[in-house]
Amino acid sequence: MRNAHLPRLALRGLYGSRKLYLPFVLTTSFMVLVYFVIASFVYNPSFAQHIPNGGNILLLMSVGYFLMPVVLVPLLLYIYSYLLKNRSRELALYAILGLERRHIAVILLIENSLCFAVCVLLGIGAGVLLCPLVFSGLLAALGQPAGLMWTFSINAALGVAKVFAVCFAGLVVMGVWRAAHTQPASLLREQMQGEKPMRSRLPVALLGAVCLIAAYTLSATSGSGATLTSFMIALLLVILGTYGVFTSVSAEVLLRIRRGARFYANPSIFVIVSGLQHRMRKNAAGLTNICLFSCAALFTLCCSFSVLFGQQTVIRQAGQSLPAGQVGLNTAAVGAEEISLMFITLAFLGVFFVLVFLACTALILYYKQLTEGMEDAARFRILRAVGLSEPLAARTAQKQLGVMFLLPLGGTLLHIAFAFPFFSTFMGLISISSPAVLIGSTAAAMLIFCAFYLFCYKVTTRAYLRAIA
Amino acid sequence: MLLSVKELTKEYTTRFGGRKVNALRGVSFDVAHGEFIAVMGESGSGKTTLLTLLAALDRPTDGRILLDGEDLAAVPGRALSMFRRDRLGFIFQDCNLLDTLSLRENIVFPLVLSGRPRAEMEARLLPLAGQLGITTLLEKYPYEVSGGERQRAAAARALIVRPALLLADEPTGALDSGSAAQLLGILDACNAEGQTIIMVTHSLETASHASRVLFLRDGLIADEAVRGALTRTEFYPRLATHLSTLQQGGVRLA
Repeated sequence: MRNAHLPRLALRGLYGSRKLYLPFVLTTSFMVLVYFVIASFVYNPSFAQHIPNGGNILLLMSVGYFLMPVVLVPLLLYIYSYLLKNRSRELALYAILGLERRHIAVILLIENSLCFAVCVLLGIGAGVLLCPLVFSGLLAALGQPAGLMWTFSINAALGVAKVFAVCFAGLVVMGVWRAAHTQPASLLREQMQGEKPMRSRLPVALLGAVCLIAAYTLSATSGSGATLTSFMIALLLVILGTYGVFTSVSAEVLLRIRRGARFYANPSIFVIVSGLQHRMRKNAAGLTNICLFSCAALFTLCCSFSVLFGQQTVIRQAGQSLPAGQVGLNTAAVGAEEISLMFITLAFLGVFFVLVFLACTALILYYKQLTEGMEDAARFRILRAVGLSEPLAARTAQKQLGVMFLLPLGGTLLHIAFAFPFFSTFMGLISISSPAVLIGSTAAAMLIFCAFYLFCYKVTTRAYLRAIA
Repeated sequence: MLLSVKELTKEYTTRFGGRKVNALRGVSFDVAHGEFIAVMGESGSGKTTLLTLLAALDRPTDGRILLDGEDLAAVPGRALSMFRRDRLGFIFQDCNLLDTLSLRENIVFPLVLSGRPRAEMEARLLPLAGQLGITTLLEKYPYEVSGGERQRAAAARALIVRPALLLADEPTGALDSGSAAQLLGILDACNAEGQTIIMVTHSLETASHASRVLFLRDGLIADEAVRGALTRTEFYPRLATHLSTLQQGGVRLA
């Protein structure tokens, strides 16, 4: 095998999976853009000098700048693992064709370098166009004169490129590891065999329920003494609980339906239930992840909204004396302008994190639909040959997707509702304690999130239906 | 006549260049109730196209197909899958069983689609499964049984609707000789009970089970052999002669 062929293989691989890579590149470019905007503030000290108390803004932006990679790297790795799963057949084929591990590594390196270059150029290019707008928008929101101009900072661009270079290096490592551990024959057999029905449904369901109840109790009893530690513990419990409940309950429900009388009476149920049972555990894991991403997006959205809406109340309080025993930000000691400045910056940063989480949720929904569409395509071909009519096939597919998509949304809303005490405690730390603001922003965030989720569902469903048509 | 095929033509336009290909160029034949027809021909002779049209999976360019006097072209698109499900049974070369369903569920699936009551499904399934020797396998999944057993389950799925016409596309193509003989025995038995069968094959051994064999070449019926009172072992060399004459380019019309 001459190495000169490898770049061509890499390009062909990218082109062949363009349905997978295009959304991936767009989402990653979007992340680059978001990160570049934040970096632009951090690397523009003039901003801090020209605005009174600008130092505080710079500090908050810097925290965002260092926090963002902590979120971005695992997100990208997770998304890429989904993408690789879709390409596992292709990687297995490379191995069959006689490519060694180092050849595959070179192919993946070329592919990812190319993606990296495109994403960084696209993201920073869009950033250069967008930053002046964001800059003057933020200045206006802060009530500052619009005299200050945004300038391109090469250091910001380099900083962003560095973080994403590390990300993509991680993707290559992951891809090589995956390719080395994929057995072509077992891959095919796995898809055919499906999963064995889950044995210990009741214990797993109970354990999951206990985890969820414990997490909810932690939240409910958090009061003013909530720490980051107890929040983290609750978070972990929610992840375990959601996974446990989703897998066991779905397995039990499907089993019951399949044993029941209605199973044979309704062609749609017949097809959907047997199909879901075939890969329920994988399905439940995917749904859990979607649910958790949704929770992250929605929780951040709630925080951003309450900071935005709660600003005025806090400023009003700043003029008055502090109620006895209030913890957190000493509102009397700081000026109204300073508070407004910090809150707007916080909300601004929050929105950026929300955008990243939402983009990831959308992308994972899309990949899930596409993966399952490709798996189900063969099944629907047979169903049609046996006499499933076209309208019934479409109805069946849509019903199946509908059930699967309400589950994470319901879980998300439930989790966020129970996380409310935690949320209000955290907001209390920055003196936002008005119930009207907290409840109002949670409700608004939920509404907006539901709308976004349904929109994603509609769009990605089309990808699924196209795959099985 | 159960089936009348009249001057059937099918023209495909190739995807690139728009060149027209005549897969069928005026095929006519009749099938009486209870006949067992085999269609033989090399790849590209049009036999798969013919089966696709008979199965109403595609519309002919010209010509007519009458099943029990009903013109297939007159069945509206919406009703086609129901028509196919209730009147026709299929056996495919690669079984086309669903991995997600047990054999029992696979076999009764056409009845589930038609909305038949559960009791009727069982009443039809059990004798059929006994006849095909898969009674003990009904709770198993396709990947848990052998290729021959899978194909017998596929045959059961085709027969459970009691189709007017059973269509089989290379049903023994993927089977070892033992399983193939078993499946053909089942088809013979069904035919003896009055089931009309049209089977596409390129195997002489398989075709020798039929009561009549049509030889397709270049989109036309080039030859025909009737078994009559011959036994299978006597019919086999006759078919071989027909086939070699055909392959040498001569056309003999029976």
